[in-house]
Amino acid sequence: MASISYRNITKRFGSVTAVNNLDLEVREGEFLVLLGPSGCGKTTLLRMTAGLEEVSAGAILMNGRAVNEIAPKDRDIAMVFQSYALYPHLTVAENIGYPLKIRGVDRSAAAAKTMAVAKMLKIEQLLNRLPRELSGGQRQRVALGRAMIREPGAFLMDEPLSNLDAKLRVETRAEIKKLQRDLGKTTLYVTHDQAEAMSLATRVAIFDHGVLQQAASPQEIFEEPANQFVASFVGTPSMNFMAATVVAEGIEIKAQPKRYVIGLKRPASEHGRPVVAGIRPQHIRIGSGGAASALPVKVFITESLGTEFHIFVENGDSKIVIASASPVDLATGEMISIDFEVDKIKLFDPATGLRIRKW
Amino acid sequence: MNPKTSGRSFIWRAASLALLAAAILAVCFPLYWLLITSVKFRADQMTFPPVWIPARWTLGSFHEAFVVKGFGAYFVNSLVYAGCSTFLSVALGSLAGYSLARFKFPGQLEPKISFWILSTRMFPPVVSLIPLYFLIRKINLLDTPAALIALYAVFNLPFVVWMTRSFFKEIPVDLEEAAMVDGLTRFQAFGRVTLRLAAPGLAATAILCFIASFNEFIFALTLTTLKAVTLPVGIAGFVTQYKVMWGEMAAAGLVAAVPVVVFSLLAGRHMVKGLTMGAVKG
Ligand SMILES: Nc1ncnc2c1ncn2[C@@H]1O[C@H](COP(=O)(O)OP(=O)(O)OP(=O)(O)O)[C@@H](O)[C@H]1O
Ligand SMILES: [Mg+2]
Repeated sequence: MASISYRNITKRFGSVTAVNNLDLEVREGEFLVLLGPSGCGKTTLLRMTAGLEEVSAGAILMNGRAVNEIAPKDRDIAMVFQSYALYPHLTVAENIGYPLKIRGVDRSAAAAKTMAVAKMLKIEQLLNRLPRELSGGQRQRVALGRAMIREPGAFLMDEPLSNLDAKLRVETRAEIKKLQRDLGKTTLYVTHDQAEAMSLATRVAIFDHGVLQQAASPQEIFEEPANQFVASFVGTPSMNFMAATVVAEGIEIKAQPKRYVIGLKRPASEHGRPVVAGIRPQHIRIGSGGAASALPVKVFITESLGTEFHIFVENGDSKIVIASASPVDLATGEMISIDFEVDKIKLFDPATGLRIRKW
Repeated sequence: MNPKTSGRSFIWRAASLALLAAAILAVCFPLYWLLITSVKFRADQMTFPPVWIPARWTLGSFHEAFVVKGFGAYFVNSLVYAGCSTFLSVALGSLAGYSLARFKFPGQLEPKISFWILSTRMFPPVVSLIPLYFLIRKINLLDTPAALIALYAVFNLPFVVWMTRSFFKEIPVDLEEAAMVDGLTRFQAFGRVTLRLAAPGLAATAILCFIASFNEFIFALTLTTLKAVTLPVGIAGFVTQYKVMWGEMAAAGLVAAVPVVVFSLLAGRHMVKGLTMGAVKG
């Protein structure tokens, strides 16, 4: 088991800064999920941790010891590559057992362990196949197996479930979670899938353009986003943002046909300050109209996801998405009125994007 | 299919078969001629009209070439030089090819270095024959195996570098990196994963090097006199001032062709790729 510390880590590729001045502590036994849009530096961070990429500046510490100069094989980590990286000339069993073979583990012990891992990943009937005879999802599970068969200080996983079908993904996700809890191994896990991040992580680290935006528990990320990027990146559909101004009664949102004011506590000193008001689609109610607090909007389109229903509405130029747990029967062009759960509204500074926490 | 197109396709088929037959004939006839000449009696060798299928045959020419004239030793020389030089050029060249394929060179220098290495193949080696002769005489290596082995290795090196560079480029880096994370050093990963996957290509490259060295004539002729003579030079020696010993020449030529033919067939098999398929996403 290992703790990993990143101290002012920067990684540049020519003019591109893939990771920018990262300071982060990964505690022993923690399941840290790295989340962020494509190209934000997640893979680069894993590769630097594995020792496959040099850092441009800063230090990586494992168990308090700087590992910048230590070869990958001596870092005591196992990695699942985004591209699987299965050895094409070896069978599934040989692929999974390769780390043991390198370590000179006794044949029959290695075979037994390979079988156990294969059973867990439900690939025991594929053991004699070559990687090119497998589907994407099967290859991915072999790659997972090759990492799991070892007992490293830390696991690094780069989108290990991205190619599985929805059902298998949920199952394997549960397996990974259980495995991680049982073994208690420090795990760094990259994913695009928020559900995966939320269900697996003890902490989520969100990156944008190589910069760490927030590292916190899934709950906190969701409820207390540090900035507008985090707020919009987490949650589906994305949080709604509306330009607003602080006024005497609260904040005023630019709306039609008349000004729309949301009653919020606010300090008098902030009057006239422009802000961005954010509200999640789940925190908007559809009313019958007429109430003083209601905002009139026009239905643009509706969509059904089976268990959740999305209504896209517009008021003037601003577009708002509403998520409803119960089916709605609305036609395009219909006028409805909506109102907001006021205590769920988050305010952001329009210039910096930072959350305005306390007034 | 309407009759017109089927008529056309019949003509196409006939034409391509005829072309193929002509090509096969052009390749096989000299071999056939070599074979029958090597087993003919001297009296039958140069008759006109020629004897197409000899009614009587003898191994006299083989006896004369390999027992009396000592061609066995030349044959061994050729095999040893080609083998040693191939080993050297593949061992050194593949390391160079690997570094060109994998490592970052400052200032985008890699394509330029690679092209420079390839460009040394563009100038005819024979241009360097005379300077090399003087050089090798100066260091007392005339008529020694070392001189020819070193020269052949150097001549083949750019080819090996260029070929292996492209083989290694095709093998995903991820595989090596996975091996390194799994517990190998970079050099071990190179040997146990990359080389293993490049093996078919390397084998083909080695065979082409071997054939080139085995067949080489002009340097062997110039740089050897007695002890280090190779088979092609020895064969040329059958053309004497007074007569041409066709039978012995054919016998030695036939034996010389054996390794080349065998290796060419092997190379064809090894050229087949596809081993790295399925290693990466997609
Ligand atoms: N070897 C490299 N040379 C140059 N630039 C690179 C290299 N590797 C990564 N980059 C750049 O660094 C940035 C971060 O890349 P990285 O692969 O870490 O992104 P990622 O977050 O893993 O994206 P994805 O989710 O698409 O996998 C990108 O802009 C990428 O183009
Ligand atoms: Mg990536």
